[in-house]
Parts: sequence; structure tokens; C-alpha cells
Amino acid sequence: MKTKFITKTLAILVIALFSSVCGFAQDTPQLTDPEIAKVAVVANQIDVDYAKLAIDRSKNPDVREFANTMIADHSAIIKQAVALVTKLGVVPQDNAMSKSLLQQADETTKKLKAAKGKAFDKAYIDNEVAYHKAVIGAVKTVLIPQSQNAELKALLETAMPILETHLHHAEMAQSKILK
Amino acid sequence: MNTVRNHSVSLAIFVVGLACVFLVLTGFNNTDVNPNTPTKHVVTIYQMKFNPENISVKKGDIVEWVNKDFVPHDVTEINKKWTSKPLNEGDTFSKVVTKSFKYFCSIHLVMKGSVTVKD
Ligand SMILES: [Cu+2]
Repeated sequence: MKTKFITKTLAILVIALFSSVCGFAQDTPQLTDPEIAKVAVVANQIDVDYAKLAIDRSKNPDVREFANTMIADHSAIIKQAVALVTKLGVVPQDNAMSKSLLQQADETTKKLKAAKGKAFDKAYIDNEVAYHKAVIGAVKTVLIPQSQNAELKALLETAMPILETHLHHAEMAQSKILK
Repeated sequence: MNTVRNHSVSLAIFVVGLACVFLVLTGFNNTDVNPNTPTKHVVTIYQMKFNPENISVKKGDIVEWVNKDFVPHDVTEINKKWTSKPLNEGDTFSKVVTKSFKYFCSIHLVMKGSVTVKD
């Protein structure tokens, strides 16, 4: 009777543990440093490309000003990341997360290109708010905790206040556009 | 007798007076250096903030901003009366302060600071 109870408890525990590990693996991708470096470069390049599209399409001075800031800052982050991987002799590696970022960016770019005038401005800024929120989440919960190299971790930590400033700036532009 | 005493009293007053003038003059000379020499105040731009965000200075003091971030920043008067132009990492911008002002970074609109002239 007692043995049966223990076996049953143990079985439940093992199942619980196993499913939680599986769940964890599904929700949180496990990345190596070369993969993290790739995600960092791709995520920044995507925002530079959105900004270039905005400079090309928008006449709104607030949107254009914001887009210029995105080009300057995200290019500066890429430059730092490239300098670091070069110094460390790391080759950035494609992975599920970088691929999914690129795929989502493709879809978003199509939607942005279909919008004209004020609709474009709104779509661009709305996406910037959402995109920065998503990237901040990924950097905080995946990229920083999983970085093995201290300098890579430090660079990602330095990027955090930049991304947060962008999010506030985007939200300001968003509320201005709605008026 | 009386005249002699009066004379010596006058002389004494004159000597003491001269000493006073001398002391006042040299005293002035010594303290003169500090109150009228402008002080340089450094504001560091780091991790997307002006540090310190708000500073108090004396009229005529110099404020120097140093960008320690790898992203560009600028120092722009709140009504855009003047701007430093973009500062890259390591660049500095100085200004002689004649009156109080608020400023922001025109690249990152949420970054703000102020310089207050105290009397
Ligand atoms: Cu700035």
C-alpha cells in the first residue's frame, strides 16, 4: 500500500518535471553565444530596415525624426556587436529565433508597404511600439540570461536602456499621431 | 603738550588706517581668485541619461557635457534656441552659463535636463 503510494507520487512528480522541462524548452529557446550574436544583429538590422522604409514613405516630421534615431542607434549597436564577435573570433550562427524574426519582419514589411500616408505612419509607429516591447522581452529573458561570454552579456545589458528609451519615444510619437 | 598729544593721536590713527587699507587690499587679493573664477561642471551622458540631470551653477560658470554612450546624443535648448549638434562617443560640448535653461536630447526626446543659475 505504502509502496504503491510512493510509486504513484514519484510517477506524478516525474511527469510534472518532464512536462515542465518540455514546456520550458518549447517556450524558451536555448541559444549558444554565436546564435545570440546572430539574433542581436538580425533584430537590430530589422529595425534599421523598417526605419529606412519610414524615411522613404513618411512625410510626418515626428515619424521621420524617430526613424532617423532608430537608424543611428541600431546601426551603432550592430557596429558594437560586429566589433565584439570579430574580437572574440565568433561567427554568428543562424537559428530558430533569428529565422523566425526574419520571417515575421517579412510579413510586417509587406503590410507596411501596403499602407499609404497617415495609415503608414500609424502602422509603422504601432509596429515600433510592439517590436521594441518584444525585443526588450527577448533580450531580458533569453539573450542576457543565456549569454556565456561576459562581454556579450555586457553589450546586451548596455542595449537595454537604449531599447527602453526607444519604446518611450515610440509611445510618445504614437500618442501624437492619434491626435 | 596738548598739540603734541593730538599729533601723536592723529599719527596713530593714520598708521592704523593705513594698515587697515593694506589688510583690506591684500585680503581682497587673496579671496579675489575664487569667487570670480568660473567653475567647470561636467554632465556625463551615460546609459541614456544626463548625469546629473539637474545642476545648479553660478552665473558665468561653464558646463561641459561628455557623451559616454556609443549611440549619438545632443544637447538642445528646450525651445530649440541652440543645439550642440550630435555628439558621438567621447565628444564634448561646453557652454558658459548666463541664465537658467532646460534642455533635452533631440535624438532621444525622452532625455531631459536642466541648468539653474543660483545667486
Ligand atoms: Cu540622446
